[in-house]
Amino acid sequence: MDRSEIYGRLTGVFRDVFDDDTLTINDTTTANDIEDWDSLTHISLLTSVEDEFGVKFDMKAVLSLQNVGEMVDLIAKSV
Amino acid sequence: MVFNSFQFFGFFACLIILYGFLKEKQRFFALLAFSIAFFFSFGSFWAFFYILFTALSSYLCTLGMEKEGTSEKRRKVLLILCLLSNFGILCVVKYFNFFAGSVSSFFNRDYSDVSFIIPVGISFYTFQMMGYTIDVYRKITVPERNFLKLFLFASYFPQMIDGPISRYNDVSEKLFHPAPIEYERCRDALILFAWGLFKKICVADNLKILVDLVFGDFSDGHGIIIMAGAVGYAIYIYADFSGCIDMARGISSFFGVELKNNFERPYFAASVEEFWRKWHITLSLWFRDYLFYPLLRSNGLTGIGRAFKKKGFKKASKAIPTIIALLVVWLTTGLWHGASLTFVVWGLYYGSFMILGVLRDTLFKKRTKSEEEKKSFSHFLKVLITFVIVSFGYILFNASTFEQAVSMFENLFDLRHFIEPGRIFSLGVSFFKRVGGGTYLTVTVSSVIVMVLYDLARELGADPLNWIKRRLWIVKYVFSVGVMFLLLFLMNRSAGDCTYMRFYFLTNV
Repeated sequence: MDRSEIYGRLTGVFRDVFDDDTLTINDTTTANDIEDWDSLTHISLLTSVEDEFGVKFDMKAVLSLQNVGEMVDLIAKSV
Repeated sequence: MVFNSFQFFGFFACLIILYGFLKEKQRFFALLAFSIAFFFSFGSFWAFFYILFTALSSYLCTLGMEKEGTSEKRRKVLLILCLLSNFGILCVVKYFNFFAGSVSSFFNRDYSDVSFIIPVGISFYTFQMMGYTIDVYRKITVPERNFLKLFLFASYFPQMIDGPISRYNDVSEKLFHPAPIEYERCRDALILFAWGLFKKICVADNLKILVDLVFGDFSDGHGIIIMAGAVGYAIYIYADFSGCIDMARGISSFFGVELKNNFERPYFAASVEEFWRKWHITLSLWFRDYLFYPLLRSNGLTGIGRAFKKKGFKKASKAIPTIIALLVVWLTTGLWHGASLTFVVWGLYYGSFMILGVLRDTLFKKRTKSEEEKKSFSHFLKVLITFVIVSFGYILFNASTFEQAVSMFENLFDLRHFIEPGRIFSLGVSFFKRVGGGTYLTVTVSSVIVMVLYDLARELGADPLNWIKRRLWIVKYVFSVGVMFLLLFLMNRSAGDCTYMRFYFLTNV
């Protein structure tokens, strides 16, 4: 799966989780850029991403993901 | 031996003089030796075996996890063994009395005379070392092969009394290769230490007298009196805890080891959630990474979330697992602070506010606050309400029994006796006498004002301590006079313990 396809599906997950149909993401998007993305919603987001792509992140990935770009890289590696 | 004591000044002076002459490897051994000596200064010889066991069990289990050919199942078994034995010890020594009543009735024997030696910093170093062990299991950290290094990480003396709870990856490099004495860093470290000492001696130790009066002789007071106790406690505990942390960070900075800040002006928070992002930060992050996240990632809670999602309840699928995890985390946070019903209820008190926050965010869309809004009256009102909620929480936190807390809450809202001029005057006179008269009262009030103004300046983007550092004449003259003044204060009364010490250890129970 290439990055553009991942981005297409990942944008849908972000819009669904954060309930915002206008939300756009890119490699440098971080939790600071999305108001609702806090420690409480972080796990909900990752669980939805896992469900969407059929992957499982370990705790190291959960704690160390710095931005959306890293998340996309991880998905690309896992699928 | 607390930081605000002449014994500690002597201890630290000896270390610094010796340290100045040593090479890098020798500096490491000096820190290790002085950390062990610091640990022994708190009492029992046998307490040393507790920390030795924790360090040794973490050392052996983490090495076992990384041994070539170790299966995932075996790694998990080693992790569980390490967690169970260490948290088991912590629970037995710290919470035995809490459960002694139930144990006594179960075995039909009186266990009230059974006591355990509790070593300094047990809650703290247990959490720190279990964090390290879990990080090795998660492959976030490479296990340390030198036991002495790991033992220094567990027993490093600046963070022994009050924390902060460090992560191995954050401090190991600097801790195992301590930096030489360097003028600018030590000057900044001394300023930070002195600022912490100021908060501890001039604000906390004096306000504690007022707090002790309200929660002691005046605990049957009403309205204003209870409010004065709660607000006094809020200021006191912040000055005490953040003061001790500043002293710890200052001391550690002498050796080039920068410890995490535990406070980011928490009383300027506009919600309870924000307050807990700014208060005791390293403990909150510990609970997030090692309890809250694993709970939310557990099969049970993800299963609940997915079940709700499948049935079309999208919002509930996020909210319900979060609420369950928050309840567990806050119950544990309450118990971590102490083994009594008041701490359990205090944990649930905050858990309830956190849950209300989740429900609010579930039902209403969050909106980004502009910088202008943060200066508005409604923002100020939110800050005030948060401060009131936190202050009321301290009634639970500091009451000696749950019954006392309930009675104080009842009296607080008794509007018929809200203002009792006679009792308020009597409280004022008692405080005036016990604090040491007009001079001490003036020092207390002006110190509180200085502390609040400093935090306000930081909140507005300025840093008065940095301003002081840039002006050498202030450092040389005004500052040294200030330190002398603090020393005079120290000589005038016995050193008060750092309050948060009691959450980490008691010499005996």
